[in-house]
Amino acid sequence: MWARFVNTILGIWLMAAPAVLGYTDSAAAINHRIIGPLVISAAVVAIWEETRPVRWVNLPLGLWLAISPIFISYPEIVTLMSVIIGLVIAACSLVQGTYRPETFGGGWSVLWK
Amino acid sequence: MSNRDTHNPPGWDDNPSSWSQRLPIVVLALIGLVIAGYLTLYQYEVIGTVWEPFFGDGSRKVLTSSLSHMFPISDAALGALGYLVDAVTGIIGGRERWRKMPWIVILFGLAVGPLGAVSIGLVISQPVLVGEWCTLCMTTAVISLLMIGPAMDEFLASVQYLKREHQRGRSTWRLFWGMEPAKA
Repeated sequence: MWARFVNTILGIWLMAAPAVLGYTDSAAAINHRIIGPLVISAAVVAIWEETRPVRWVNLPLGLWLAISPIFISYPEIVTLMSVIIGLVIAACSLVQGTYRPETFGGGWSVLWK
Repeated sequence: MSNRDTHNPPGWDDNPSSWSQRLPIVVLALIGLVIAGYLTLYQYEVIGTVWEPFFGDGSRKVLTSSLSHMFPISDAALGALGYLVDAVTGIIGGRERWRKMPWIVILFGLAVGPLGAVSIGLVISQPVLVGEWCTLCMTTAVISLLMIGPAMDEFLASVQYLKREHQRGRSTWRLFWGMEPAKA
């Protein structure tokens, strides 16, 4: 639960950061404004146990944020922020939390058995 | 392994088709319908102004952008239609509809899932393509997002049921439409 909460907050921050830190007219802003809502979406859907596997979506998104300064020119302070936030998002996506598919018919994996 | 009553899908601790699980989703869909309906009235110029507490001229610019009119009907009208389908498919059927009416549960899941995806896409598009934000548009995106998880559990229960009964040699087509009797 806390991992989904952290990623939701970080996603909201990514949406607001370009305006707050003043880099609205940059490729970095476009990147953060696209990735932010996607991170929020995956984190919120993953709050429910039945859709918990959706948390994995945030692993590539977080890793992309961490390495994106290599491909996109960032203001200096934003580079550090993007790397740290990206790594935290990726780390939180690895946290499974309470997950008991035996309480909902074995979960999604029974569909391809 | 408690609270398993006869309405629950096999192997489920709770019943995703119960009213306590479905009504909150229907309420969310109705709130979404009201907001999207209001935004539709603005887009079709029935009302002259739109409520925007945070982003100044943002809502007006987003709601009158060419992006919001890329479909035959405006995006808010499309959203309102989507929420209506969510509410109707959410309310039809009883506590065992995961088994008795898989078609409506699956339709419900498809209505909630893709509509949520479109809402998220539009929220992304606002700052990136239009350069503005719209409070009520984002509110509807949050509503759509909150519906996905709770709707998908019932979808899962129905698909598990179809898969299980299919493996027992029953007709998936007949099961889908609820034409197969409950197993003895």
